[in-house]
Amino acid sequence: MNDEFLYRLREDPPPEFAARLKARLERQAVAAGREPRVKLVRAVAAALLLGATAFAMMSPSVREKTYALIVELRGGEPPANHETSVQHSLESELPTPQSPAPARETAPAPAPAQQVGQPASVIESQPSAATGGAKSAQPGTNMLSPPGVIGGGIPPKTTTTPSAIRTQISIVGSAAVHSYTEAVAERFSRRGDYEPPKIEMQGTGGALKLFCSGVGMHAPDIATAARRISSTELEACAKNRVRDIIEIKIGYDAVVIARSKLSSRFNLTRRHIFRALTRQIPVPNDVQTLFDNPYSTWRQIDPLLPDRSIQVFGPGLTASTRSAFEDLVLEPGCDSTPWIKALKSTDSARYVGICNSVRDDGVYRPILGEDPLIVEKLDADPNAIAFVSYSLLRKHETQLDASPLEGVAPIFETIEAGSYPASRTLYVYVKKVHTAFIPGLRTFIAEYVSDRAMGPEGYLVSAGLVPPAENERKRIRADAMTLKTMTP
Amino acid sequence: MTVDEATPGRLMDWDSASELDWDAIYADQLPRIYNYFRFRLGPDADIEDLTARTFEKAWRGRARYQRDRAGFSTWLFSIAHNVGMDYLRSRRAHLPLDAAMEAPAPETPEGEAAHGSDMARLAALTEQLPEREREIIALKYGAAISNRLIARLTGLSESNVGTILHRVVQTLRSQW
Repeated sequence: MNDEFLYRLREDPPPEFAARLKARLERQAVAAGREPRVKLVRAVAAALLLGATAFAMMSPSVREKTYALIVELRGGEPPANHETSVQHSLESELPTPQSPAPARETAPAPAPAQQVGQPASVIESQPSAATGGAKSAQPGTNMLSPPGVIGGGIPPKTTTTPSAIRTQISIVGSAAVHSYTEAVAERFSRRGDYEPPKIEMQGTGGALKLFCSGVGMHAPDIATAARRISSTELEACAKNRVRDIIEIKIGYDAVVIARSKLSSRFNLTRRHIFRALTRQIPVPNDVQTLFDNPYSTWRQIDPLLPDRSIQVFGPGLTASTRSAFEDLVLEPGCDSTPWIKALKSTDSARYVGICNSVRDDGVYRPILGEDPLIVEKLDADPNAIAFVSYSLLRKHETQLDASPLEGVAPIFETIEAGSYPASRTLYVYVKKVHTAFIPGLRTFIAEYVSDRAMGPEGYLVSAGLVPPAENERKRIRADAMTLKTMTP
Repeated sequence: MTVDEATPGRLMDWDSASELDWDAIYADQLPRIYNYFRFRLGPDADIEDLTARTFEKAWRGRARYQRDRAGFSTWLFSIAHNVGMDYLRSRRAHLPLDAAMEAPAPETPEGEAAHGSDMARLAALTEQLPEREREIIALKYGAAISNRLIARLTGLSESNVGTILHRVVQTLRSQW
């Protein structure tokens, strides 16, 4: 992250201020006068207590009564001797020869070939958090992996985990999927059985590159992506022995143009939106020159557009839909100017600076991703439009309308087909071999594809995700729960 | 290399050998708290006064952190946060109505930048951010503490802190 310009703003406090304050703190401590006295009082009290206890224990009657109290507390069963009792309690923690591995993860990493060759493994369906959280897999009833490897799946974290085994799920991913993965991770972590996953944003390309770098403790377990993994990436994966990849389509992202039912629709393109909303726009017919955005009406941008003032509500910087808005609306609009598009590969910081900096002169008003007052805001200003998630539009479909974008209406069919311009399909990729030795990885997958997450009323839908159609969702869930891998 | 990378885990030391070296802690924490206020409240605030108040409060109660440097750091920053919030509240409350009406309109980021003051420029840009984002920027770049400690102080997850920083820095960079 290019953040040196912020670190450079730090400065040392003035030396005279530092010295003055230090002297004042020391005077404060002396004036309170508590510190030396407290230490002395504590030392004397400790010495007196120790002395009294030692003196009391010299008396046989006190010793006898103390021993009797201990016996009483033990339920009348005095230990034969201390050493035996300690040994007994340790032995009781060790497994019997026939029982599966106890709550100690001492098994070495399994041979990948052995894992891959097994018949379809099953992720045991986890109870919901409402019923008391996940239970550890029971030996003999769970076919997570064959016996002799790590019986009954990976138990929750313990304090005896060897340092060689990573106990935290590692996820690299796209900003587009980040908020959904975060939401799943939070639910997963609430169970308290496993460490919270580590989630790093790398962008889709970067995430898949890392994902395909290899298998094992050093490599991520999961990559999330705002597009399908390409054949080139799959080849890179195979070269680095990353085979048996589980692909989970979690749904779609879509940004729609919402408006009040009181206002009339008009057909916008992403180029119009870019020219209406970004802080600086290119000078026509003049390469490489930008000027401050002067437009106040849509007609000034295109004579075919209505003579209405530009009033837009859009995702604020940290709104969950901001990433989709930038990637799917602003940047493609920006790319309509060839020299700016070329900056993507030559000067990406400048490209982002031009394309994603929206106006701050009141034309663009930031809102939360799922603003509960959006209907009122749009009704109050019939000129206004809002860029919101498809999920929010559906939530208010009796009060809001959606305008087409580049002639395509935002409906489920066009989003699913990919023909609606501001939409994309989101994926989660998992290394099957890692499910055998990373604690909680299977539980995490199960949470991601659960109905409470991806279902029509799921918490991911509330966050803006457009889930797949019901039949497809059932198939996706069934495949994920059986760890089905992509066909080569 | 950032300060955070250069001093990994420094705030997490657990001194089990003896009581903490308060002189060393003062030397380490003073610039962090001082810069935290600079980044959080801008150049117009009385940074020295707020820093002093923070340390005076913290020093009075430091006895309970005899062996826990990490716990003390967390506590110190909590005090700093509260001192900052008290300052902001008192500043809003005491602005007389007439003065508010006569006060000139705030300068645009471009206007502030014309005065050549980078801190003022940063203050103008961060003023447009939500409270939470301003706090995180001040903790990360002012106090120069790790994302992990920021997560502990703000109640967010560590990865959420990373996400927010990534976005905000990108925007600040483009507007700088």
